[in-house]
Amino acid sequence: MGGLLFLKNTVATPKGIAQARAEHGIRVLDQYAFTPRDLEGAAGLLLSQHVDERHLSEHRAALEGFLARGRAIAINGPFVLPALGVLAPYEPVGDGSAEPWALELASPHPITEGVRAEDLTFRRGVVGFWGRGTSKPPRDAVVLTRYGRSGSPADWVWRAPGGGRLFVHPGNDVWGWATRSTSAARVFPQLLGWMRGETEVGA
Amino acid sequence: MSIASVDGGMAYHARTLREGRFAGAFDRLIPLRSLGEADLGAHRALLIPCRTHGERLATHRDVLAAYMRGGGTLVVLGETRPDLFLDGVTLRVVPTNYWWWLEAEGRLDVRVVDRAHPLLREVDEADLRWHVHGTLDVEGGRELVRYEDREEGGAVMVEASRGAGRLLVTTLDPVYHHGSGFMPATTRFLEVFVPWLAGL
Repeated sequence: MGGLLFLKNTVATPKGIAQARAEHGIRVLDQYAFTPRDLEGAAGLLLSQHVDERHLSEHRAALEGFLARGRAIAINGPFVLPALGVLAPYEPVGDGSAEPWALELASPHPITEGVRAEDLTFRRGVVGFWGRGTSKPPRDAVVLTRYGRSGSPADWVWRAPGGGRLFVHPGNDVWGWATRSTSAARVFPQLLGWMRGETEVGA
Repeated sequence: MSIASVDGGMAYHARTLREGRFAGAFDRLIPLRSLGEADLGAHRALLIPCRTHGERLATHRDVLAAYMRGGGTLVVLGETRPDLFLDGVTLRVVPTNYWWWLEAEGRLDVRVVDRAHPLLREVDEADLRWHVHGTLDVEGGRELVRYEDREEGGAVMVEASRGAGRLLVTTLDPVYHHGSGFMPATTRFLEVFVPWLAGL
């Protein structure tokens, strides 16, 4: 299967993407240069918290078709305009204080293998970078992490009809942790392996 | 005459410009992709919110310069790379300290320089302190807010006349944080900033 496609809507390519580019076969494409043809031959699509959601929504049918053809999509960020029909609206969790944002691991999964919940909750002592809200998953999704106090899902994966894989992370872009020294750095490369079909457990 | 904002289409732009308490302040939202066709002269002030793509804005450099020369007020927020799309602006990137309040004697010394400025009369300095991403050197500029630091200090908000209009540019990025549900100080700053903008 082909490589992964990253839609860039920032001046600089994020460091985590740039570093993984060669090893994981990531193609970096300016978002406004994207056409559905760019999905042909790609194994997966990486969507950042910085995408132009209105532009992306014009290509919703192409994204749905991509998933239906068994490919993978990773969605990051507290989105306003969902990129796919399966996504419920994003809702903030808690009252802005730290405790409701403390995370715990839910179902074991290759994406979170070897990852400690504390390393997701805290980034040098600060809580909230990983996630501050939720998008309610479909009934047959697998929840990877959740907020301990409320039990609301944070990260989850879903196997679409047709075999497509969807990863939803309603916080800051996961590749932002790829260069850190904690176990949180494992998530992004493990996500890329899962998107490319290199791991076969659960969803 | 009215107030307009560029809309980059990011979730944090939508959550600030299209939803919630500040949505009503803007008479018109101009998608970044349509900026070239917009009649900017109809607007007294134009906001370029945080993290709008600086290279894309650079393709409209002449339009933005003409807007200010013609009497418009251009207000540019942080992480937009203003050095790429504005004449006479130098940006110096500062290593961002995301954890200053956790450090022993940690502080982020951002201070109001010009208390007489209508934007800054009422602002609480605590609501200017979240992250400093860069400092600015603007041709003909007046420093309004400053980051005090021995090595990295400099202006973080500057105003300058441009023809019949003016430029106000800052490296502070309140729309990104408010619209991402992170950093309450940024919401408090916007509660002062947006009414000021709407009253221009």
